[in-house]
Amino acid sequence: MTLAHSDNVTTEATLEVAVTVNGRAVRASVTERTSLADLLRDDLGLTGTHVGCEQGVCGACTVFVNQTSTRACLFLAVQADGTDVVTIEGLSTPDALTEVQQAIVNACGIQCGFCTSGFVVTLTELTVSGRIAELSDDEIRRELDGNLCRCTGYVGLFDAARALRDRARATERNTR
Amino acid sequence: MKPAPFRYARPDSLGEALDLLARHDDAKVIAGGQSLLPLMNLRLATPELLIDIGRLDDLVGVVIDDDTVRIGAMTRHAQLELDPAVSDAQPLLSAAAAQIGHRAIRNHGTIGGSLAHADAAAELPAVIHATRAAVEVTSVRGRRTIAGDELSRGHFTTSLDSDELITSVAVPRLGGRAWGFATVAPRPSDFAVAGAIAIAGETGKLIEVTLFASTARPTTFELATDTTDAGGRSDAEIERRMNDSISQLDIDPARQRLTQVVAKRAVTQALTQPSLQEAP
Repeated sequence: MTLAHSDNVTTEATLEVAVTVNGRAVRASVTERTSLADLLRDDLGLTGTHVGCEQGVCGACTVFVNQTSTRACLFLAVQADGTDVVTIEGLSTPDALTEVQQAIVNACGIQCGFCTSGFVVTLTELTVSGRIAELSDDEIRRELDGNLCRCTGYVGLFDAARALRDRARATERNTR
Repeated sequence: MKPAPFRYARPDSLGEALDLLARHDDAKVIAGGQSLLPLMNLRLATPELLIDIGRLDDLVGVVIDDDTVRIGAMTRHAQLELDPAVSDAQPLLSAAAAQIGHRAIRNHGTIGGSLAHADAAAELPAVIHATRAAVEVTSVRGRRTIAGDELSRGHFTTSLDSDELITSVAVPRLGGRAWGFATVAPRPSDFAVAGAIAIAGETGKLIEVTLFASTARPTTFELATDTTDAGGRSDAEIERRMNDSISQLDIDPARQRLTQVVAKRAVTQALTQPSLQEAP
């Protein structure tokens, strides 16, 4: 399918995309260069996803696309057509924090909050997949190296990850 | 930090993709987008047309037989890293994929994209070069195979014609040969400043060392590990020979020492792998 567009590349086309966002079917008009981050924040008002570097290194924009952690700044809105997107807003409500969010709070792993949604998505992927139980401390560090934090010095975030890992291991032992 | 305007097409079939590629001079294929979109966001790349091959499911998948691991071009790095069948069949490939960027990058980046992008610091082009993997490419003019050690021509430069698309890569299995893989980078997720792959021959007497990151393209040299008449080994002599070979190659002088360090690490890994130590 070739999406209709103008031949003049300096005039941007308006393209229609259909995306499921946090369980809701959404239709939006975007341009070719609208990123998924732009769509979520500017068009849908879901500003929990943050834009830091637009290079893929800081991780503040990390969301789930088809249950897979994804840099929303390195994913075009047109690429998201037909996909299932989950953002921080879709992972929980303020009344009921997830296990991952609670672990970060318990370990004092949050200050300004800019990096937090990205860390939550990354840690949620690790816990939901069960992979976190297998990780050594160094492997945890490696799994988190795609999320940068400028406030906390990482200690609280690392402690939260280890608590999640230790709890996952305890659960595995108890269910054997 | 927003890209320059471009047109976008998402072909439903490989044929349609190849046709678009043939008809448009200033088109770029977008696969995972994890290398291309950062460049476009910085406006270091300003293609007029993006051809999105992300829905071409025929290009996804890994097929393992006794001799090779055949990987579709749209296969994501995360699969090469995490699939136990791949790490059992080709541990060097799996170890290299695990070094690429971050989790979210590996979830979307593809082997086809990495090879076509040909960043001198990239891990997979170096593995494909070191193992002499067979790279299948296709265009409206037909199909051909590019030998893995003839694909990278330099930083961001390959021997692909502008209308060609990588469709799959057949990576030879190691057949029990020992291997090593080492990089030096400020952090694990950063681009390698120097990298080395070592693949031992059947008896371990000859090791092929492939350097990357500190070279414009992956570069292979042979290292003989026999240092005494009795067929034994002196580590200092091996290191001297290796550094001698390195000094004759075109390497960024600022990275000469780091290149020696990674080469030594990779060779040491290969020499100390259990399979080699058990050989008579």
